[in-house]
Amino acid sequence: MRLARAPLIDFMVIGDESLVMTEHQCLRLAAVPTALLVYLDQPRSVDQITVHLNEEFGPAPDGRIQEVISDLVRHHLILT
Amino acid sequence: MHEIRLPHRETVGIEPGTWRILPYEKPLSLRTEDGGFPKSERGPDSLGLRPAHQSPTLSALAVIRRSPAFADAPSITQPDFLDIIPDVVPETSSLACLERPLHLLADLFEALGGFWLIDYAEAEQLRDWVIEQVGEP
Repeated sequence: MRLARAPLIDFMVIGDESLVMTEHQCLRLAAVPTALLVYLDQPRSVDQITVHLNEEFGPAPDGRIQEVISDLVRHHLILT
Repeated sequence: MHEIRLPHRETVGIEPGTWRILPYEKPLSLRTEDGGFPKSERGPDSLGLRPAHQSPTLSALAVIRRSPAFADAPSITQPDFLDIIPDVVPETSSLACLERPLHLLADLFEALGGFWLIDYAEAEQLRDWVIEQVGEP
């Protein structure tokens, strides 16, 4: 399965956090979801995302990356 | 606050970059004395208010929230950009139609020296703050 960034009205990274705006909401994202969304400048697999985030932040606890992905999918910020 | 000029009620159009407030002279809708209906439409002059400035520009942007919990004193703060924007955006109606709206808000945030978050109970509590922002009439 490959994931892609959803069409966003605007995405603004400030430090290691960000603001993201869709047609329906404006959210503040913490460092990990921000890094994930930045990395999705092109479609990526879950394995690619896991490797990338582990490199950036160190090994994640079991299930944590899937949790972040699910959260972003739920808010319509990434597409599966 | 009769000495304050009222450019708009409810709706304000702001030109990106110049931060000019566009005229929209809608009358005030007032409830009956017991707070009910029908509302009456009143022009600012009939209420002792001054007419709007002919070319107003934005000097402050505040998210205001009314709550009886602040009857003793209002809370007036200038949060960080990341903190205040999720509160500002839902108060707008056509921001998503503009080019890179978050970046536009960042420009405005910088131009104004920050946005305000105000919790208050009664408008009179904000009189000094408003005068401070717009200047003495």
